[in-house]
Amino acid sequence: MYKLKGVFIVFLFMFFTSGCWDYYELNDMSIVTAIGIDLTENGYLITLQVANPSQIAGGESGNGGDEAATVTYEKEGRTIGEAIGNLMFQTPRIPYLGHKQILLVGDEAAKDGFYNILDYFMAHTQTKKIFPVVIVRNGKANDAIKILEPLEKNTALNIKGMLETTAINNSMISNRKLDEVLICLFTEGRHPSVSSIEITNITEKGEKTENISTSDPESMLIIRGSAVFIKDKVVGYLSDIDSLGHSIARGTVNTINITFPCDDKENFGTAIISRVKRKHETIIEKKEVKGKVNVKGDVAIVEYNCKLNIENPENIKKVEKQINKEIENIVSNTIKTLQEDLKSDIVGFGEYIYRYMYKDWKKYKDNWDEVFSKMDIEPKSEVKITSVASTKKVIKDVKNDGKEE
Amino acid sequence: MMEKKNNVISSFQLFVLCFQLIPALFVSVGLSVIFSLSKQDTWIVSIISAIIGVIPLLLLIYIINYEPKKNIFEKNQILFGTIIGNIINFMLFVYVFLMVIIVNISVVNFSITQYLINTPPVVISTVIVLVATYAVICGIETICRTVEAITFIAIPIIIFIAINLSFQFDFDFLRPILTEGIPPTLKHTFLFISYSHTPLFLLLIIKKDDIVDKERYKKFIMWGYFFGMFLSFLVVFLTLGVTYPKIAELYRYPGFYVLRKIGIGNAINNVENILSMHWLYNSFIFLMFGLYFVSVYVEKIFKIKKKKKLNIAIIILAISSIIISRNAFGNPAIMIVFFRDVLPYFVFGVLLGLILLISIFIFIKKQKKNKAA
Repeated sequence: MYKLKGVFIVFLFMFFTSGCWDYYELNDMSIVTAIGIDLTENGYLITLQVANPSQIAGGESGNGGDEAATVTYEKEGRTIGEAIGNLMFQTPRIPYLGHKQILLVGDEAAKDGFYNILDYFMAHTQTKKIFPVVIVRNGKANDAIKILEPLEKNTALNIKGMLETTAINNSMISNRKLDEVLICLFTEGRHPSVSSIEITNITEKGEKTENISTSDPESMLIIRGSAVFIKDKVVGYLSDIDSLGHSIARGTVNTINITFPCDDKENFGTAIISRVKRKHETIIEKKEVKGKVNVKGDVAIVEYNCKLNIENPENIKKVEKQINKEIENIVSNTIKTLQEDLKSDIVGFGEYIYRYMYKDWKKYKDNWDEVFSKMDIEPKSEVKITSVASTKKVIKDVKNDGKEE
Repeated sequence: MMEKKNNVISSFQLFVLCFQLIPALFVSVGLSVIFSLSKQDTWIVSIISAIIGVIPLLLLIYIINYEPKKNIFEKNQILFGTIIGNIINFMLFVYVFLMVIIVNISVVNFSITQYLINTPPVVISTVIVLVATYAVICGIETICRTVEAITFIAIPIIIFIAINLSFQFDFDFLRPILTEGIPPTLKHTFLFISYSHTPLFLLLIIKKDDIVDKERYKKFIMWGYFFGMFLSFLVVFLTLGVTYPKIAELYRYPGFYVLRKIGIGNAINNVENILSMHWLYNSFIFLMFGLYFVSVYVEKIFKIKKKKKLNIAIIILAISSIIISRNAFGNPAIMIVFFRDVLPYFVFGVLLGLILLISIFIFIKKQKKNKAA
């Protein structure tokens, strides 16, 4: 009898511990890979890009055909949640947001404010908060999400790939994830900045598979600098080179690809700077606020079309000086744009005061953007050439036997 | 044949009990409250709490040492007499039962908001409490062995979490310090102690004579305390340094949110649900031990002699805890306000008040005895 009771209890528990209570079949769900958010008169226009499983499976076996790898759904709502709820009328499956790769925000929505947008995603339990956020610089997220490109048919993966490649290879963007944007928003003394993309030539063809069947697509997406915020609103954009300057000043750099002028005849060289270390600090001297940005790193010269013989140690120092000057120029121009045009401290000079001089921060807290726009900031670069290209001389030098053309 | 005794525990089991019980209430309920109060200073609060918290711990050991053959309810009757003793015992019963209900609510809410969205809360509550009830029916030895086994499962999880999160740690997130000044930090320290010491209070139900190697038990309790407090500190420290203080403040379960960041390249990702089991283990241990505590009270107050009757009483207690936990708060807003504005002060007042009162009475009683001798 005792054993029978035990068997009964174990049998009963099987129903509770099978782990199937909240379980959904994968076939009942649509995997959302990208979300686009735009502002409309009635609230938000949400565009969901959903992976097309038949195409993905077919693509792997070579039978992909001309079907699109993704399907987009769009709906309006007063809130993001309402719009996504309204999308249920269109899709045969439940949208699953847990695997989304990217969040695209249209220019207007970004200028209107980010708090409401972030609030939804922070509270949403399905989503991990580590997907990149991108602003569509010259248009709507709805347009960008629909652009199909030949190399990567899934727009979300296409943009994500571009962001990662750019961030790793030339550090021209910051590639901020959602949680990092939120940290910036919460941090005192620093405004957020987010990568931005641009659509080249918005045409209807860009949304069709015709766009991917040509080697020269009509519409394309291009990574283009960064969007600069004041609090939660986008106030302007940085160019590619200014965005690089921001990455250097902020210390979010992997490798920097720099082209530097090297003599009077408009000759240039290209250097890759790696192992970049930057230190920035804010100093308060006699009630005057000053900023410093110091950059150190290892330089490898990869292209050298200059007159100076790089085998000479003296000349190496000269080239080093030119590279340092170029870096200082880039950083200084970025800071000038931020101070004069955008009046937004996205580097974190104010954050330095907040963290290391909290008592002083109380004085500057309310008018920091004003103080930042007037403060003296001195960038200093001390990168060192550690390797030169595998050739010893410039080709034309060898050809002309060292004589000038 | 003599009935097998199931009421002895070893010093090592006391060690694992302390280690597992200290973060139980703190992580499930206290973490979010403390973060919203002391913000980026929470890590300082946790260090000060570990130091100051030794005093109530020593008082607890002092109480355990008194009348080694008796549990806390019997000790209270000796110290305060039958009437006042019964009143204090009833207060203890209500306090612990309330904590059981609160942990039950917290576990269920955590489960339904994070991973069992469509499961009826009462099912989750029943499954957890049912298992806890079975362990309580088996007795303290079974409870302690369960805790021991759970600890061996939990330790690799804790080590994995700590190592993984340490790579994402940003020391800048912990600055500036003491922005609110020292008095609020000290105030929050006492709240931290209340959350971490309430589960320790349950140890008073153990009779000193039931500890197998009683000469070593103080040392083991102390080690359990330090490891438990270190674990609490680690939770605070890593959550703040990885997520950012204001984000930690934003979430109801910041300890879970930080686990979402764990991953090794693209190979190990989305493991927060498995890793968060560790916190569920803590809460489960608290539920088990809390139920055991109240069952001992019921056994004593109703003078239950037969095992069958006691089992029925335990089941009734468990079912009542499920029913009350499901109906205690009308809506989540009331619950959040209660957890934030009422519970910390209630825990602080009752816990320290009772420990101090009992300790003072033991001291007076001992003094009188010495004088008489």
